[in-house]
Amino acid sequence: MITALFVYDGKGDVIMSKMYKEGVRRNISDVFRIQVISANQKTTSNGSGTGKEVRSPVLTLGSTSFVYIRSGLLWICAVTRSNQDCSMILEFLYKLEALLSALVREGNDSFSKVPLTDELLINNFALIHEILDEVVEFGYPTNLDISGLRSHITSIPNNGNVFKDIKNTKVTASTKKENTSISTLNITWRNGGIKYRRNEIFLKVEEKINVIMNYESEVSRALVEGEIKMKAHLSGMPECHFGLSDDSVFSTDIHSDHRNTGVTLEDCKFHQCVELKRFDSERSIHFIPPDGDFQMMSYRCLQNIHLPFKVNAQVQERGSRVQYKLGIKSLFPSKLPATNVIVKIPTPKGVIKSYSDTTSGKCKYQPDENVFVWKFSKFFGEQSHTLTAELDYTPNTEGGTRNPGWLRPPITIDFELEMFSSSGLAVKYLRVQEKSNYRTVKWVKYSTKAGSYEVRY
Amino acid sequence: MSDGKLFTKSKSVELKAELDQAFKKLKSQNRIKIILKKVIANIVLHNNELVNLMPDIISLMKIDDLAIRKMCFQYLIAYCPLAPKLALDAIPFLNRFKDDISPIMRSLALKTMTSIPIKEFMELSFSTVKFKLEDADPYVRKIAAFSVSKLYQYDAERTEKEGFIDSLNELLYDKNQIVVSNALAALSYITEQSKTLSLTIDKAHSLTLISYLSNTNEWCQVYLLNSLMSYVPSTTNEALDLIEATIPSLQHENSSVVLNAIKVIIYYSNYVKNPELILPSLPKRLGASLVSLLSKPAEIQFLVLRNVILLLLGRKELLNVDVEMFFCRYDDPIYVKDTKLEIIYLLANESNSHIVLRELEEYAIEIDVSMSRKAIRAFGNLAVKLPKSSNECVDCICDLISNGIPYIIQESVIVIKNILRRYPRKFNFAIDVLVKHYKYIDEPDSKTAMIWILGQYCEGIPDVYSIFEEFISTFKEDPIEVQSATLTAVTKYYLKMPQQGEALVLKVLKWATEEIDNPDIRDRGFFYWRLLSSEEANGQNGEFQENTKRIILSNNPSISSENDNIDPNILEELELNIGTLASIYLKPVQHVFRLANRKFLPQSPALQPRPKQSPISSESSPAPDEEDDPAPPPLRPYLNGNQSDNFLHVRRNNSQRSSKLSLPRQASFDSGFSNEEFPAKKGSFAQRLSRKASMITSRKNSTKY
Repeated sequence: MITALFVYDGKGDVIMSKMYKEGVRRNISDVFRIQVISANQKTTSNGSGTGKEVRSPVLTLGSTSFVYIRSGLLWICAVTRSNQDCSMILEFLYKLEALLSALVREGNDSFSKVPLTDELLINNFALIHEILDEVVEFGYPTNLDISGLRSHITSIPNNGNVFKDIKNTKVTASTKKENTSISTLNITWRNGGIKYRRNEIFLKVEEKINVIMNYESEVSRALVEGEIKMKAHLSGMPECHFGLSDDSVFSTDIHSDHRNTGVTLEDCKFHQCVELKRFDSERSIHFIPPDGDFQMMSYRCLQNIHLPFKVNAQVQERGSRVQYKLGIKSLFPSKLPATNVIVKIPTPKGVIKSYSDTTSGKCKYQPDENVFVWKFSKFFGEQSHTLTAELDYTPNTEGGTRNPGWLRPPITIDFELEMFSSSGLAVKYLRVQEKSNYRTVKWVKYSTKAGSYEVRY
Repeated sequence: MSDGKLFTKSKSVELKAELDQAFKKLKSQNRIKIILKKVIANIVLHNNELVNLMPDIISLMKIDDLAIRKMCFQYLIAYCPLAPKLALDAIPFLNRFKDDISPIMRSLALKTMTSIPIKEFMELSFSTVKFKLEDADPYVRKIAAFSVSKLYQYDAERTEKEGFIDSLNELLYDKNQIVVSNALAALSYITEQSKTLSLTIDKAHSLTLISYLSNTNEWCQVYLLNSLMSYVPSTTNEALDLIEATIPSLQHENSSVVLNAIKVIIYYSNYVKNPELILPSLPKRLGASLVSLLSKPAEIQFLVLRNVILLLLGRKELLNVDVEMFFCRYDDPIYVKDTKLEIIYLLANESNSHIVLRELEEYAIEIDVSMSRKAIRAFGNLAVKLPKSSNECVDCICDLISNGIPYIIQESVIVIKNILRRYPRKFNFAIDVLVKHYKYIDEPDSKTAMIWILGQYCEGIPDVYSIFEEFISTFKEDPIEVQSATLTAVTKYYLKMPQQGEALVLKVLKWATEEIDNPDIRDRGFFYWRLLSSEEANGQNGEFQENTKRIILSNNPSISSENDNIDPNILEELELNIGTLASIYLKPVQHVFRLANRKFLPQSPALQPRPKQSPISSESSPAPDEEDDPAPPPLRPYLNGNQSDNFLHVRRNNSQRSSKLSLPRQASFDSGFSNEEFPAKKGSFAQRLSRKASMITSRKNSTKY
């Protein structure tokens, strides 16, 4: 499977390495640096923004393959021999990235992912070296769940900030039991003996909406990608039972062309703790959650999507002058505010003069990106605002053959909206059962963000 | 506390002094740990000099502290092979620890001794592993299972002879599910390496393994799913049961579990007749689970998309997906866009052509030049593939050309040439649009195409003389394929319009025969010259060049969309390798990885013959002498040194390079000439139309199974 693992910093220096198997020598790390990292740097520095193109996530030289991902400026690269399961390696690399980022996390903001930096890794290098030894046996990934690893990793008590238990105090530390048998239940994602004074479970429905519409706000494509994340502070081995509102159906269940007005989930994927068999036969979601944060499920939705924003765009070109007229309308309940609303309106290159006027929000021309940026700090529901703008530009004539004129890239909108789910999905119940029969406090939060929200005109 | 400052290269002398100091002070353990962390840093930094510290580190293992011992083990694994003699002192320690009361210590000792390839350590390992496979603690058993693979890596023969593999087999019936699945992983390494050993499981066991799927972690599930590939169903019903039992795994969040589940399902589908009719929801479920993986990071998306292509090529009936799900996003990396474009092409049909074309038009006017070119190429391929949509395609291309953007024109010429050949006379209006912009055409491929069009349709082009003149003005510097296209085109021009063409043809023939060093061009020049000046050239009744016309102006064989009949053997093997590296390259496994064992569908009474793929066009049967195809790309283009950082690019460069070397391929759209001499042209045309799919076909030519 995985023969060796290397982590490089942005300059291409190895900051972490681990050899799992015979078959390659240590200096194989140089091959990757030369073939991929420096090649990539060359193209990015040579400009023209093509750095992204000189990439494929896999490089094969002879029988040796390098499978790699980027994490911030870092490169995480697995070296393998012969034909191996690439899906497993990639999935491992991403899970490893998540694990490392959780380990080096300093703050307590558990839902946001900390980007990895070389500094963070080096500051925890001994722990990470130990982790790398534990998560993979002989090149085969075995367990990347934090809670499962706790019982094996000795240096955890040394690093106070790592695994610091979240706001809510945990009563007993289940970590330091060297001489007793290791917890070897089949559930590798949870240890026994977890205890909380207050049992809480936080649920977060996060949706990303991807839309492409034309200038008359007719939608040509809309897709919602949702995730249900949880943070469990529960004692013992709780069994959870989770349910969505009754009008939610799974599209694979729909026979014939029966039209559904509620939420239709095209497909969903579950965390490893969910009993898939039971979901398959009874359509009910049962699981024993890991301790702390995890993503319980993800889903996609194509039908009956509630669009938060509609845009009307008129863009007219008259010689070297472009005139914009833009109307944006919010379609969510009037009490909700959308935050960080940023509308980016592309312009041609070489703008000499620009002018813009808005009914609300601030609009500014950004010459380095060639866009008008129209910002709102808050945008409440059921409102509409307009923008008029005008600009003069010099059509770029030099070098004639390489300059295709202005190609009208789409207008993009970025926003965040709390307590709104654009798929209409709602959580109906979440039952927690445990032997000790404690009461659980449950929190639910919905949010919708713009994925790629584009208006073509 | 931050370890950052410990992360530096150190000298063994310094560390030794620090150790001596540490022992003299109170709380020496904490000081020692810090020093050991420095040692770990040097392991990471690959500093071989620390090997001199060996005796000191070994003596540290006396301290009864798990953390210290753990770090000492790391040191041993990294440095023992460099100093085998000194390392021997560690053996008594390992010998003691292997029977320690703590399972962690036992497994660590086991892990360490099996990681040091020195004879004495191996002896110890061989005697230890056997007992540890029966250890009371499941964690130790798991480590022992992997230890067997490690031993196999060093000494396969002895491992086999001493019965370790049988003992490992025993572990498959362990009561702990994690041990079972990890033993499967360990065994999979051994079967991968060995040419003779293979895993077989029986029905009862396969059902047990499936039942473990519901309560093991994600990695274990992958190993379990993989092991199901070793069971051969003897009846259709058995295979169906197994498929149904695997279906729940499609819902897993881990893409590896999903892809491996699909691999298992596709494998068992070979033992069911028309699985899509018996399980009507299967294609939709497979499609949905693949598409939902597209919300994963780009690298995983790429792998998934490559496997979608594989399934579309071989198992269309088992995959129900919507073409719209594969439309590109603005921020997709180029390799994802590329692959999506191929899928769009494969999924396009008469009923969805409208939306597909509208989407492609968006790509064509994108800023990204390579994307826009690929979109135009897709237009052309679709026009050739779908006769009913060809009108719409050509209209779109003409619209795009009239914008006057150079790279769009360059690409469009090539595409239009194919369309003209596919539908003779139907789209002659497109030529007029092209001719208006001929000045922008300067790339070899586009030039070749344009020159071919000029020669073929010279009678309909008003300004043809001056255009020709301009194109031939660079004749002597042109690449070979442009030269040979020019030769043929001016000859045709002369035959059709003798008055205008004479001066040109003489000029070109003179250059070709007197000033060009390339023998192929020179020979072809002489060939045409003799044909034209032969006494037999005119017809019986003195018609102008009648006989020459018959040779040179004969009809072009019609072209068709790319050959969909990819060797089923290759597809079959790739389907058994879904999700692996080979599925990214979509090439026969042995061509990419010569060490890989060949996989094939085991025989069984239930094994169904492979469903025939209906070729899109019936004329596309492979030409008989395809081996003549002059330029099969080198076996592993990735070996091409500095270009290997992006195989998509390499592949493209490669195809360019090979087309430069290959005169005959060029000739494939030179009328007449190729007609008699190069019946292989269909093969090479298919290659031009779809690079990826053709990688497989051309492999077939070069390897004959």
